[in-house]
Amino acid sequence: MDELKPRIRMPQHVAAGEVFQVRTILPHPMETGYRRTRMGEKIPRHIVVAFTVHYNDELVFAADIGPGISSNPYFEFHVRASRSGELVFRWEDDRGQVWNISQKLIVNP
Amino acid sequence: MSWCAVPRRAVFCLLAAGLSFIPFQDTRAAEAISGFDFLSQQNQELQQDNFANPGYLWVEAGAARFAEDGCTDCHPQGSMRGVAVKFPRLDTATGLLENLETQINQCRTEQTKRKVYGYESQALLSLTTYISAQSAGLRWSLGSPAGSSGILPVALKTAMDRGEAYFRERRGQQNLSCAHCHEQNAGQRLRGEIISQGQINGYPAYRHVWGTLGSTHRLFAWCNEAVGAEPLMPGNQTWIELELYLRYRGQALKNESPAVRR
Repeated sequence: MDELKPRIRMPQHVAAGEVFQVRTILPHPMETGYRRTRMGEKIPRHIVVAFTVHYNDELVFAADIGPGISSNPYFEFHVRASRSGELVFRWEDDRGQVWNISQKLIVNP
Repeated sequence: MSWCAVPRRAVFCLLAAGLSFIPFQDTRAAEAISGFDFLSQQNQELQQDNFANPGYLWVEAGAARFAEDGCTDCHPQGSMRGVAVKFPRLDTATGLLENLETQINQCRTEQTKRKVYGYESQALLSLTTYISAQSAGLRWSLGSPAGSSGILPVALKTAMDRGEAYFRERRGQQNLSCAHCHEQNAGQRLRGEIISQGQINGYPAYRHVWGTLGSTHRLFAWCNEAVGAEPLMPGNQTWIELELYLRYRGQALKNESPAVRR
């Protein structure tokens, strides 16, 4: 899935103290490991296992992810704006692949 | 719209003028219904959400690839509105029907001097999705501007008739044709599902059955396997003719690409 990139949607500017929504989606097959091919062979598990979001180095969202989450996992959450800075999004899967995206945030006092 | 009411005099004049166009009788079902109307409310909302709809992962990838692969040398970014709905159309050079995938690969080899992309490769899917999405809300024009008013060039009509023949031909262990499910039994249940009309106005579409996005040819292969038939190779002429017939059959519908389907 190298063709596809994670997407983030969040405002670029917020007022200090405002709560804003962050939406994220990661391209990933999220293969459960329980499926079989038509020939009966097991399709190996391949899933994202962890997702964290840091806002200026403070953890604001984290998820331990299992095979029950469907493909191209989507997460949305809310954050309260404090200082301008950066949100860093990090996904890791069970084969060691890591995705790191950061998005700037401007907070108006 | 009564297309068969074209007066004979007009037909004679057209043929006499040396034009190889034929008005034809409209044999379609009374109402074309999009696969959207067979979705659960959740999936309808998912399709209409241009962030959560996973199909947009391919639209964004396609936009990046469109620039990277030199398409922007001729086509400015975002300038492809109306393009996807011209296909399938006749390639005047080869006489074969071509679909959007064919055209993209042709541009790659002839214009940008690159190699073709494999039919269901992520690269080609991202380009077709990116280009199709720019025609969202438009109707198909059946290979020519005149086609949408019930008049087609003879060669195109012939290809469309073959597409319709495929649609009505029984195949596979189940010995069923497309028409058996999608025409005779659209709206009825197949186990827990309600059978749709099998329209393709949402393709390339994100299909939950696959957990990913796929092309019309991937859908046709899946349908073939569903009746226990050996699927043809993706990109073949027979399926492009079928596409042409299906575009005619669903002409009242608007492009919903990238749609979400079950």
